[in-house]
Amino acid sequence: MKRKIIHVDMDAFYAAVEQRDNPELQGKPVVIGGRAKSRGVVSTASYEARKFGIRSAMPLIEAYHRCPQAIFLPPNLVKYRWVSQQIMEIFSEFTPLVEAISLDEAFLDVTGTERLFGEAVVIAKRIKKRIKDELNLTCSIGIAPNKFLAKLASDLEKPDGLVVITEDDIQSKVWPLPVGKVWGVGYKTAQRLEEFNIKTIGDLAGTHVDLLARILGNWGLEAHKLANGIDNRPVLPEREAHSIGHEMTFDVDISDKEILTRILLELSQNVGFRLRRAGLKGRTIVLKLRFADFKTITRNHTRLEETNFDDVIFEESLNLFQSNYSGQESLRLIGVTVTGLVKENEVSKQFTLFSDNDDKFEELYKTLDQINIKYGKNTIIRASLLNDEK
Amino acid sequence: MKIITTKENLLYGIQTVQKAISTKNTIPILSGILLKAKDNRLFFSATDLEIGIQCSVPVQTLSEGEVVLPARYFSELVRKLPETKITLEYIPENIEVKINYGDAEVNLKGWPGEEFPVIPELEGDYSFEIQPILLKNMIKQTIFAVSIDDTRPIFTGALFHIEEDILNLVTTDTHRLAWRKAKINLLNENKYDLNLIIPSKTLNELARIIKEDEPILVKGDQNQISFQTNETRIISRLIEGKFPNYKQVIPNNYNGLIRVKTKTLQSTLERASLFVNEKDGTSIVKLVIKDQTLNISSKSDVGKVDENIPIFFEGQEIEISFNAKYLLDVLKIIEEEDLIINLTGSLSPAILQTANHDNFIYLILPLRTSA
Repeated sequence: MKRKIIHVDMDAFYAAVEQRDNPELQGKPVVIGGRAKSRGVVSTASYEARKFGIRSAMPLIEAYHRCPQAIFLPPNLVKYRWVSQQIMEIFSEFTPLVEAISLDEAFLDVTGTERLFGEAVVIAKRIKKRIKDELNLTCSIGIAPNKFLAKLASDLEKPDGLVVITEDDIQSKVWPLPVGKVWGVGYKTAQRLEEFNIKTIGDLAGTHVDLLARILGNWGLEAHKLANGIDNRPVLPEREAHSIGHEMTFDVDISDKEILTRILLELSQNVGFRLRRAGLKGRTIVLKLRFADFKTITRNHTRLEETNFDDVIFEESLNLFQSNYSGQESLRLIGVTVTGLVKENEVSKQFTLFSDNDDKFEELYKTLDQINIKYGKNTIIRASLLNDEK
Repeated sequence: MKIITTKENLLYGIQTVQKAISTKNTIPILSGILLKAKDNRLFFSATDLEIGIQCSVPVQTLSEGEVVLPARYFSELVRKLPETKITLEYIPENIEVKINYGDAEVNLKGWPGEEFPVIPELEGDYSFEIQPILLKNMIKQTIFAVSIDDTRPIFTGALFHIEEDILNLVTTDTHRLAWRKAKINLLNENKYDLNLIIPSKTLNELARIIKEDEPILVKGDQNQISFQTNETRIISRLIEGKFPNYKQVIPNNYNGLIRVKTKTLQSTLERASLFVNEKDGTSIVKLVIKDQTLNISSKSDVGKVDENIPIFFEGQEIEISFNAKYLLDVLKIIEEEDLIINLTGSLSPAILQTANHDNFIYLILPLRTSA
């Protein structure tokens, strides 16, 4: 049976949520990411800001130069997560097969639900209406026989779009698109492909797999299938989280250990906060380093006991950092992840001699988290992180 | 250097020093064993600069001298030699050793002996003697409780707390603590109150290689300690740091006393810990003590165990949970028939002792279970 896959992509999600909640922002260029001239990158730009050429992942400073009158805001992930949850709940009313790939994006497998809710297009329209009515937000939806095509479809008529791609449309709707639209084809890969005169998805589909294997390695075969509209990956419903992590890509490569240590602390705090919010603890701390030449290493350490304390996550990741980073090559990305997760209330507490009292820490974190949720992220932060906020 | 010896003697020497051979590749010569022939004895030495082991065997010395041989090749070779008269001769111009057995000959390259680091003779701020059987037992009865987590290095070693002529050997991984006392024979008049933290590897090696009956001479300073008998010497660095006050954590008052057959409790716990929690590998046992019965139960996704053991009990009804491993580790090394468990509360330490001895004491902290 042919599958019916829906891809929902919220329009300028973070910015849209901020504009929705603050009338003063409506109709204005809004950039989510951080202060105008700070080091970060744009996380989301409102459609008004996009008119100035501001895009996701662009350095904030560049965004500022393009549109100095834009309103720059730090992301309020706690809020976005909450809205995201409401959106996901709407999806789950139509099918149990919902795979959230980020806060603002999800796949739904609605194969065989026609009798219950109507054709996929009808479901899509109902989803759009409910998100508009209940949450006052818009989204773009793609419908196709597989995930790859559904995601392409949702991107075709943004914002507030609804596009159906069937197998018969592949030649007309998919093949003219640039290769960069294929999952996993980034800027560099696209450049390599262009050297072989492969510019569109159609070019990719028409290229012999042997040549693609030579250009792209093992991945060539996969890319060739995708280009021909073949993608058998199932929609995997939200599993229980196996890991919680944060990573940061720098706009300028960094080799300063002091700065990197501070970033590690910030990442550890974010991870700890999310673990505690999710009621989870983990035993394995994973550090990810990507060097300037894109070489990426991950190193991990497994503890005897689970934790969700920022301090412990930081201490562990700092140990891994110190024993795996010489400071000679600069880094373009650093990430901290905690895996081996268990529910906090399922962890038995082994009492300990000669140690600081864990219970005190638990109380401390609980209080800090409450304040930061109530008054906004970073209401209380470590003194060592204050430098960033000047 | 030229000696005549046997496979058995060579093997004994190699096996005694082998754990001190460096496994890191930073200093190549430390991956070797120093052989030194002197006064009709062959001395074996190995060190990774943390621990050094030396021993000697009787040989027939034709000429004295020394050489370092790569441990891996030398020990593999010796293991495969026939049981016959073996001649070892150092050829300095090739820096190699010629090994003859029967009419066969093997040449193995090495390093000049004088390049090997000297394993120092410690003068010693302290020195005492202890019976080898006793020290071996003390190690066996405590070493299991050392920490394997090196975030706090002091707990990866064992504390030698020497008060006058009493040696307190204490280990802890912060979840349980083992404390064994014994009398030692002081060799000088100093007033002793010493705290030395000895790496667990050193003590494991000591327990493994000491075979003689004569007393072990222990001496050293605040950085290093040595244990020696006529034939064998181990020298080790000490772990830096201050061991916390272990006496303070032993409760003074108890409100429950259990007397139970050691073996009965052990078998029950072994069954109860069969169904370990897949996630973290620990098995938690719940003990409910009521009237003259100890109920032990455990459950996991795999299944559950529930058993009752008759005990002698004095005190108030109590419910307490432990990591089964911590109890079993103690039970496995207790040879006495009867075990005494003193309890102070569901969330407070339990103290395990045997009925007839007060020279060792085990403290185990409970778990607070999730529901």
